[in-house]
Amino acid sequence: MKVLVCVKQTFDTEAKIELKDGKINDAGINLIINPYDEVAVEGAIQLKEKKVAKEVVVVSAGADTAMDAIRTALAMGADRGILVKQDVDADEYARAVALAEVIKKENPDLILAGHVAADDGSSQVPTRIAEILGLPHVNVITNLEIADGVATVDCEADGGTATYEVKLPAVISSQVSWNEPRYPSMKGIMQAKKKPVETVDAVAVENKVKVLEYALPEAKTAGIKIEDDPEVAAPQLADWMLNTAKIEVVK
Amino acid sequence: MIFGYTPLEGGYDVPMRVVGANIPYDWLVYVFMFIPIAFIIYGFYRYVVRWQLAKGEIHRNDQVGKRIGSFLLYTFAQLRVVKKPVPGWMHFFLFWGFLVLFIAAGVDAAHHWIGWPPVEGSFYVNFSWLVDVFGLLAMIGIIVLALIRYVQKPDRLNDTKASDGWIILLVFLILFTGYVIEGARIAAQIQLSTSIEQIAYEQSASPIGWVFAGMFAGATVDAALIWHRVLWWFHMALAFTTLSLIPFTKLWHIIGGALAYIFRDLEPSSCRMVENIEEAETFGVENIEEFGWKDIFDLDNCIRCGRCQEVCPAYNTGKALNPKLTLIQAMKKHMDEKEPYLLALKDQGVVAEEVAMTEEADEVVSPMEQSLLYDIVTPEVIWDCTNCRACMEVCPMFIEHIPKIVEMRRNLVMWQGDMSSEAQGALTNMERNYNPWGVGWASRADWLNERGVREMVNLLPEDGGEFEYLLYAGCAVAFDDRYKRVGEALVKLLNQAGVSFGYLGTEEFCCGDSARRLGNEYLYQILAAQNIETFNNYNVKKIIVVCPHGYNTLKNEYPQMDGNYEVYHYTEILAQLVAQGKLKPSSLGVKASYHDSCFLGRHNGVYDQPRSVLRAAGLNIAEIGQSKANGFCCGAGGGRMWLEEEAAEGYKRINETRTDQLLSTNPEMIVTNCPFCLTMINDGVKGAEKEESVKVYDVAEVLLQSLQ
Repeated sequence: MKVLVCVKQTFDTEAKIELKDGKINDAGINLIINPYDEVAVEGAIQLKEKKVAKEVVVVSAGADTAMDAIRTALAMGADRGILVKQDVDADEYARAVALAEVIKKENPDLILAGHVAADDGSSQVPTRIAEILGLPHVNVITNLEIADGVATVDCEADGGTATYEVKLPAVISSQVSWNEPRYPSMKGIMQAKKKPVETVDAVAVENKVKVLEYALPEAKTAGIKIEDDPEVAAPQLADWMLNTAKIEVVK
Repeated sequence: MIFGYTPLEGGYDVPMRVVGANIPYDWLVYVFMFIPIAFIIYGFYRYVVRWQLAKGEIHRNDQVGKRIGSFLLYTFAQLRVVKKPVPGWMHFFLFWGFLVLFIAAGVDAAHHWIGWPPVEGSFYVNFSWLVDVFGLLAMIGIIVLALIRYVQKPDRLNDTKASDGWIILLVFLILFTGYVIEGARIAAQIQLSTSIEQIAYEQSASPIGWVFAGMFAGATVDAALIWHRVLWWFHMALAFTTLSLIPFTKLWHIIGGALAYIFRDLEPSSCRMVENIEEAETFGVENIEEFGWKDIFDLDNCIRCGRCQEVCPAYNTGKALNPKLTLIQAMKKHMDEKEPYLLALKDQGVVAEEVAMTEEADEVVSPMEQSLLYDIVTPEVIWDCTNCRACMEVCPMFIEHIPKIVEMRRNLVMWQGDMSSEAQGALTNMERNYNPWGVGWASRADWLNERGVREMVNLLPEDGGEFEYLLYAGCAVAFDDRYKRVGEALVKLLNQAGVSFGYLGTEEFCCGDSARRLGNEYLYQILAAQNIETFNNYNVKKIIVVCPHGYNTLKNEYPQMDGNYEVYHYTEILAQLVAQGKLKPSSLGVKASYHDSCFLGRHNGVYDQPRSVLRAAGLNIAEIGQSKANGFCCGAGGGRMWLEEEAAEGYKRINETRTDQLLSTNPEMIVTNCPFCLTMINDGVKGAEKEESVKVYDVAEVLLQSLQ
């Protein structure tokens, strides 16, 4: 069985986001594999370790720097990589089209991806890929078992778990609670350097969505602390709410 | 005389004794002597062959003068051995007793063969007296040591073997028969002499022998002479047997110890450097023969005294790690079993599997197939270590435990990729955000504004002013909310004392201590190289470090990567400022317990400066037994700060155990000098439900309080 994992390179989750000329400034930002995709990579490698999967292919659409994300996945244990060179401004539609094109050629038995990217958080790409390829799709899975060409998955459902069965090939996207991704060893990193990575250009399609503006959340101002007996503190708090914070009271 | 013998005389005109008198064929001793010599040479050769199996590189042929000094001090003054007073001094007696007896035997032989030195007259009386008394000291030594092992039975001697008893018995019998021989000779001489005055000098020359002569009070001259003759040969047989056993029993420490004092690690406490890590093909130690020769040599030197076990925080809290049994002795046994296979491999060049296949029955696991990391030492043991250095500080053989642990961690982490998810998390954090907490690196200088001390700090990337010291605040000051207050206190103190210092802010990286000691040497070197480059860019000469882990790393480990600076712990600077009168504390008058962090204390020997600061601040420090070099770890060293510690059944956690010790004097305050210790002790105090009555502070906070 061949497993293909889509990975996106994102900003480090702790990175300090700053805007420069209306765009997100990437200077000094460390780039990582999207943590949700990392879980998908780990899941694929575990399938290989269980001898369910034979080959794990990692595909990333993005800038040249996305090669690092592919190398990290290879260091974790994936077998080969494909970098789909695409403009960083590509929207979810363009990304899905580019990835679907490669997936069609690879013809894998299972397509894994994180259910969301830690940067834009739009949760669209795996679903779009399934749509384009006409494949079944299950989302936010927390467990995966494969037998006789059928995947049994646990999915996060509101307040509980839903278990589904889906015939392969299918697009399955992971929740972070599925597993704990491994830390690549030096052995893995050294081996990764020798693993093949193919570079292809993305299919040229127009974005469907246009970004108008980015804005940072307003800086939090320090709160106030009223330390007094309740009868004294309560009127003070009410006064602060009305006159300082200027909260509108609707009756 | 080849045949026959020199008869014993009832005293001599000039006080003396005739070596070999009454002993037929006594010269044969000098022939038989070659038996133990041959055994020792052969045994030594076997050890050298064994050490040569080690593939790792360790060089210990530098600093010859220092090594000779170390040999003299630790062998003849037994400095390490006597650190544990009762058994230590008993061993001292035993050592010197046998050394003097050995020298005496040599002097007697020399006198016999070349007539020099002249062991006659008053020289004989004095010399013989000295030897007699040292023999008695040795006998007292071995008896007390036997009592400790078999009557007192301290926990550290929890693996007594039959051979321990046999060796004690042999040593005792050699000494005892020596005196009985002397007694028999004196008894015979008394009877042979015309008057007691003729032999009276023996009472001064051999006071102990004179007492033993009483054993033969009723015996005839002939009987005494026969006893003398028989026991003399028996004594020689015992002595030669024991000497022959040296290379094959724990007696090896007589030679191994002397060598250990020569080849011990003379460098300041540090992890071993991996040169050219970019080109490395393997990482750390997976198989025992990948260690360096000194590591294998260490295994052979372990005398199982258990001093390491006694002080180990892991062992004392019921963990799998016991530095004596589950580390060193387990490795020694494995090496003993594996050695023949390795030798066969080396000699014949056959592949490992073949040796294992041909020589082992199916059901027996060949030592070639046993995994050092998983079957012999086990990951549990490897991860239990807090790198506190207590074992290395007390080991009388200078065995290097921590480097062995770190080498095995290096393999687990960098090669096997096998570590807990907490360790993974800490490493990922250090990799991505240059601090183990994992907070975004860009906010590293935010604490300055948060604590309102931005104006007091020359933030080099922004202000770029001149500075004398670099303040290497470290990750804890930047990211640990509790420890930010310590950073604030220190900045205020330095400011008040007019110290010129700069701070790197976001250009400062984690020192790499946790990465290195968790086994990720690669990550450590990346972090260290970056810091060194930054330090050099700003032309840094002197550094004040806040966290003792950073202090140890910058001071002792960065020089391995050509980062050479004058590195101070902030308590050293504060002590200096107080002594110079630049900070004038008033007395707080509080009773406090002081916790020596391992990396400031044992690893670097800084015990007095923080105490002097606290005393100047008017703290009444109630010293507990486990302080200074005997300090007990808080549990967070060696990267364990980032790992969960589960309390073993029937035991408390390391930090709780330590907190109990610190609370034993009922202090109002516990003072530490390390962010990890502060966290651990704080948790311990909370666990003991004492947080209302006992406050945990850092030295800098205490000094600042006393100034306000």
